[in-house]
Amino acid sequence: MQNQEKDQKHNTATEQNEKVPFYKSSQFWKSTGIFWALVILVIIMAISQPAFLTKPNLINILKQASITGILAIGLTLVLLTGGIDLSVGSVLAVACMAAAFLTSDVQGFPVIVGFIAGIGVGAIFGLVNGFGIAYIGFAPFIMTMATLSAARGIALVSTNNRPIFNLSRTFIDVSNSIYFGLPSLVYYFLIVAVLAYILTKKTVFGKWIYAVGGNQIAAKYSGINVEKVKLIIYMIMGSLSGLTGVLMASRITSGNPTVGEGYELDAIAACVIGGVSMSGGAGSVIGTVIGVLILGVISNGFDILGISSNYQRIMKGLVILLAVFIDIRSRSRKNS
Amino acid sequence: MKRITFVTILVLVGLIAACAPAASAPAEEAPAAEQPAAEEVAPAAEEAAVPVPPSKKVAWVASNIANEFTTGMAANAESVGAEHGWEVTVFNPDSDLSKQISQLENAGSQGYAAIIFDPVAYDGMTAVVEELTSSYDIPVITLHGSCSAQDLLTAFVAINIQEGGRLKMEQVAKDLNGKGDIAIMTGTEGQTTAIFITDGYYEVLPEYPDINVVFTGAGNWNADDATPLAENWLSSGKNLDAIVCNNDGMALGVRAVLQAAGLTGQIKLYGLDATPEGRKAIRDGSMNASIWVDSHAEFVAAFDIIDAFYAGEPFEKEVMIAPTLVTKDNIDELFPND
Repeated sequence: MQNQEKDQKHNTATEQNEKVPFYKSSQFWKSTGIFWALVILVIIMAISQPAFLTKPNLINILKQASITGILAIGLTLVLLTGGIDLSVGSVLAVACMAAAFLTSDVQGFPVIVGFIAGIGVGAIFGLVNGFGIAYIGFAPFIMTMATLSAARGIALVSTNNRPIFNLSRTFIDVSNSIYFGLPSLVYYFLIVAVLAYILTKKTVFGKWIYAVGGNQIAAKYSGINVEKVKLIIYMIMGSLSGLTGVLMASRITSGNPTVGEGYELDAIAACVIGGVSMSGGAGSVIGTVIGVLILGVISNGFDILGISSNYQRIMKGLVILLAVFIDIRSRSRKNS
Repeated sequence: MKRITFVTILVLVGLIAACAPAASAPAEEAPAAEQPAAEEVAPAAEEAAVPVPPSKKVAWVASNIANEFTTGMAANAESVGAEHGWEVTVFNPDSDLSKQISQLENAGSQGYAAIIFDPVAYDGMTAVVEELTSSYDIPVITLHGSCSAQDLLTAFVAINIQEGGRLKMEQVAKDLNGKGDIAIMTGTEGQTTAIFITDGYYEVLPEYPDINVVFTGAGNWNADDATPLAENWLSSGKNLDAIVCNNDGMALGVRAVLQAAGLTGQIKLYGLDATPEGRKAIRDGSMNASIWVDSHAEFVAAFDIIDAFYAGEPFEKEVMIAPTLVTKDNIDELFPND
């Protein structure tokens, strides 16, 4: 009976959609709510500070959002499977040290070696996380909290807390170049975002990710190798953390073992603001990208306005709650 | 299942056993090393009054070991300690006050002969300092930073860091000919050192009404937070003639931003600490000045106090070390071995 009602509703909804253009339907406003939140935020910032809407500043926001953005996209995949990865900031630091060490004037390896080492180091941490979670059965929170601590320790021990300077010019150019008017970091972010979008929306593996997060037991009975999916996802996450470590080393022109502290929380915040469910199975890469941009706009706008970073933290907290509140409301309406 | 548990326990015990010798070795050596030292000291001074060091170990409880400067401090603690015949153990509380307090308590109960620490916070150390000085007859010294329990301490060695901030801002004013727009990048907001350095800036600024502070923001002492902050300032469209940072770590992050924007030299850059990389930046002109805080001299003063304490000799209770301004003009003189 209820199903019939639902079907009817669904039918009327689609009928309505045929009659009214999609952009006028309430469904459209609900599903794009977070995008409009970003637009409103941009308008507020633009009014408060005219310099906000200048091209160099907008490019700045994209550039600064890129590193958190890549982490957040990886975390979206992890969260979709119902997991979590707290170790991303620490793994970033280890990769940052590895890449800086190899491309500094002491070692002098070419840029590509820095990339391979950084991403490789990340992938190994991802493998450890994934193995512990999928095959041994550690809770993702516990497993990655352990890696968070251990990886930070490794980064600090690697040079006895000392930063590494004198990276090669070509390596510094990795994050500090501009192509066709956009900083190179933005391209890395875009490429990762597009690949993740295709992976989640256009491939069978993408369907498995949602299935594992939505209902693990059902996924198992339908023949999905749940353990393998999880292992691969944590390895992707680790590799992306490694990639951001390489980019970070180039960006700050040094390897610094304390880099990336707390980045996991920024990345998780971006996912949550973008509508990714912490219990798995719901959310999208596009939502996360918008979430990342919202956080980027807040921190950039407040810096330009000269507002203390302490207020930025308060604001970030409020935005997270507000975003999740909107998400809860729109979900409960859809279900009723 | 039981078997797995058993194996796990076995592995854990093995791991701990493997780690243990490394950890306990210094402790075992310590009493052996202590014997001759105590004998040497005892006849030298009047026997009864002079306290005997409980071991040959000295604890350096840092505030953090997160940047080049604090890492250098830890290295200086170890090397200066070794020169004075002490074995120094370094503790790192990661700027966490409660962690530092626990480490201080542990250092006391583990029989260290002296405790030197850089307080994470000015307030909040009183109880632990009281406990340490009343329970153990060992010197307890603050170094670099200070705390409100100063009276209870055996001694304190400090840098007048506010003076450093003052010296630097005077140099900024000189470089700008008393006129221009500047941005101030502070360390983590709320931390005492950041407040003192910045207070030093503001002691000088009223004398130069034509210098405007356009931005103040926290770069949290490190390059990765300093970088986006500086980028945002640059893209704000406001004029900037100088960026004044509370430490070299942040200034080096800003340097990369200025280099990428082609503004090196055009916007003057100032740090503090004169770290090796900061000195290199002063030499190549990408940074204008820094303040040299000589942690080596601080530790020499601290270990002199410890030696005097155990020799029963008098010592200075307050040692203030003056910071030095480092510019291109005097850098070769100050650091001839770079």
